[in-house]
Amino acid sequence: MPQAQNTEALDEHLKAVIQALHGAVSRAMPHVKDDPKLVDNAIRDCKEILDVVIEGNVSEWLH
Amino acid sequence: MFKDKIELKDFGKTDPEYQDLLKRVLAIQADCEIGGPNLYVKDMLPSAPTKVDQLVVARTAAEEIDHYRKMARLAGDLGVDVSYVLSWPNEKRYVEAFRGKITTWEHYAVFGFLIDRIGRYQLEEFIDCTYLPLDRVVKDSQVMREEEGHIDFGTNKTAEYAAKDGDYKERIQKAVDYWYVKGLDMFGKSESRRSERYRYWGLKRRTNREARQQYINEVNPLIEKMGLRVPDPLKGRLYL
Repeated sequence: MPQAQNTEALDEHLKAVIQALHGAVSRAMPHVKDDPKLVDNAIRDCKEILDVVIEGNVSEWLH
Repeated sequence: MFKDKIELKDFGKTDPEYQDLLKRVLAIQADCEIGGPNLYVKDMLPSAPTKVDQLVVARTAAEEIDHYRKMARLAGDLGVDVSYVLSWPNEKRYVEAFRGKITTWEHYAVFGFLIDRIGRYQLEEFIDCTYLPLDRVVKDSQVMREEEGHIDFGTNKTAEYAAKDGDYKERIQKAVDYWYVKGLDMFGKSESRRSERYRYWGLKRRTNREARQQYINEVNPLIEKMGLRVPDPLKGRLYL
């Protein structure tokens, strides 16, 4: 059974996306009370990343 | 009943109906996983009540994207590209519950409480299924643990709102009324031939009717315990 085209590439891309999101959340969560700027930056980063995912232009991600 | 255990390398030798059903269920599951973030990220990430809540929205979306990734990988290995659901507008989703938009925190909370719980039911269907790569994904404790986390967060937030007086309680009741019916419909028709074929091929465990009844038995006492009304289970239903 041949694998669908881009299976590996999409898998790797999404792994990187997920890692970046978890990284931003993990950095911010311990500093919710003492570093609002860091938290705001992390939320902004998450929004930027998630906006791209929601837009769903897969061909742009992979090329 | 089909009892063989199938690895990827043996998939091509299986019955065409088995292949079709497995490909179909993976595409639907992938769509449901990415359907959640598409419902709530745009409005809830900027407007969740606290910074912690905003971070929880982002983390929840990351986990659902990872569940999508795992389903997309399984489908891709079978030669099925399910990346088309990433660019689908919500109105095209396979499952009706994902065709709208979540714009209020009460709806976000109840979505976790009621709909993510159905996500857990859907994944449980695949435990010990005949396709071993799928069985392994759902037995990976991370996927189930993450789903449980979404359910717990939604349940706690719903209970918090329900414990408040007046307008808060009324708003959360309206959200429960909305999602409860959508949730019951997510199990599909009680008399479904396709559901029987899924069971025949060992790709699902329960009939639609059984899974829906178990869900009702689980959530109704929780809704009542929160001091909310259990909605009419028939009102507005699309699939009985």
